[in-house]
Amino acid sequence: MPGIVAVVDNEPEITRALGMWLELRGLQTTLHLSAESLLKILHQQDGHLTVHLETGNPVEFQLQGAVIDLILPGINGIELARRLHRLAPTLHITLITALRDEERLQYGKLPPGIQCLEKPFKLNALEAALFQSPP
Amino acid sequence: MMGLDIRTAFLIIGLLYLLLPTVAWLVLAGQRTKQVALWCGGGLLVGGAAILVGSRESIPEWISISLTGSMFRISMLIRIQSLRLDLGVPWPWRWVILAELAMFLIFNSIHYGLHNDVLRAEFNSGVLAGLLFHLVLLAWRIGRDEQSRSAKWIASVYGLVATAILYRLFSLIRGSGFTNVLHEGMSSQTLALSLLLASIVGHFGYVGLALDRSMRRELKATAEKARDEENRRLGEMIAHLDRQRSLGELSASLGHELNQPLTAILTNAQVAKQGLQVGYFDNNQLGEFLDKIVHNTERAGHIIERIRGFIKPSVSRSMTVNLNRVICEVAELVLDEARRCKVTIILPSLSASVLVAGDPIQLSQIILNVLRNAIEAVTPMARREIQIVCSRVKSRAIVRIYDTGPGLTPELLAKAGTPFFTTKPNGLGLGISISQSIAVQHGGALTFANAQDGSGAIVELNLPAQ
Repeated sequence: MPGIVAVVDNEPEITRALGMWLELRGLQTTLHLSAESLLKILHQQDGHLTVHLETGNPVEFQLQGAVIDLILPGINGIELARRLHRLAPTLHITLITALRDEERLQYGKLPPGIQCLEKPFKLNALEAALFQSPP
Repeated sequence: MMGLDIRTAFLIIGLLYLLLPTVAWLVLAGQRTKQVALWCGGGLLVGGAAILVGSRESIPEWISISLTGSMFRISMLIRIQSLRLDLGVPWPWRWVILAELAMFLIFNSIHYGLHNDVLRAEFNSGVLAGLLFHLVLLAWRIGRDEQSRSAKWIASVYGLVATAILYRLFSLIRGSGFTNVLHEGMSSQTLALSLLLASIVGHFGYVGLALDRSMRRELKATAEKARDEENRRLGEMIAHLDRQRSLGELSASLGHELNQPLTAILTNAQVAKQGLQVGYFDNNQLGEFLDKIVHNTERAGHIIERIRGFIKPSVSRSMTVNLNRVICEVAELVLDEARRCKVTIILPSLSASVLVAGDPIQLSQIILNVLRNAIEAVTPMARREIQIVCSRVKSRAIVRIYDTGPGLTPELLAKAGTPFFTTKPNGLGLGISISQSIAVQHGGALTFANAQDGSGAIVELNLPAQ
């Protein structure tokens, strides 16, 4: 099953640019402006998450990674990361945010082993963080 | 005085009393009031009467006795009225007229009815002495109240005249005096001398008093102006500090707000560079990335401009301001805070303009303070919505800010805007008070109410429309 990376950020422009970067690195992407939008298309399958995309002829992808903004309109980024981590413990997850460390506290604690990059960041650093993250 | 002929003395006194009030009137050109007119008019009457007395031998008796008697009394009455007006306790004019009518009747009954010259002279002296002592009392009170040496001089010199008249009255009662004031004798000479002194000191003293007053008025006006200026400057400083405080509190979210375009710029630039290296993009696609970079740089610049515009130490200036624009610009400052608290702000349409005359920065300050309070109020609620409506109703521009918060308690409604009253643990309680002063300075008001259906609070800014 081909792999896919999810990008979740409420700023469409940043979501699109991050998606473009990942595509340049040869990855398939699915872009979302909210946590709810991503959760709606996910299915759990023996410790893995699959995405069902309607791209003319329906194709199944395996979710390999997720880049998630911390502040999202509904469910926040940390909560989304936590849920994804529970559903698929082997998923690569990286959070991104414009908040400073002390301001992040009110959104909850990061799940273990998950990094949070402060905006603006170098895309190489994002890629490194994403694929060095567990497993 | 011994060598001076009393008749000549009265003529000189008469001339002085005609001349000096005229001079006083001319000198006081800048501060002619009703009181000054009465004082100078009274002087002229005395002058006329003194000349008539001096010419007693060559004019008919009804003029030299009846008319001059009235002229002296009227002159005293109107000078008394002049001082009473100064003290703010004038007699009603019809009382003054009635008093003179009564005295005229008594005086002429004694003269023409009883043919009693001694009694007439005694009555006349008694009345004049009484009026003069009243005048002395009033002048002394003014001297004491206003700490004016000039007024005390006036009181002293008229006290002298009153004493001289009393002396004449006692001479008459003792039988040693003459009914005709022109007869040589101690009492007449003393009277003539005191009148001479009074003419000079009385008028110069009066001019001095009026000049003193005008100087004090000017000093007071200058002091008041300085105080107003100081208050205005302080008000501006407080408003400026309040803006700095607001921005300080917003700094985290403004930083975040700036971070968004910067992230977009950096991300787009890196994607474009990478794409260029691997030959992935054509020129059109690269152009699109550059457009995004330009757009986001402008957006960041715009935010910085808003912050700088808001914090700029402003001396209040008045210009035509579109309230709708002010509202939309201020909303940009709290956009991130609102987003973070998941509050929806519904703004008025920018296409309509509601114009007022005022200081755009200070008006922004009102909107910012109210908006931040509203965000705080709705944050704990399930429904978090703030709606700003701006409209023109007749000659007023009205901004209403509706929120879906818990509304204001009766205590809050009563106290909102009282300096240092706050419900926030870290608040100073000045924001709303400052906003209300700004609204008042703009000829308007900032008021608080609860929605009829209990759906939240309504804050109304009401300003004169342009």
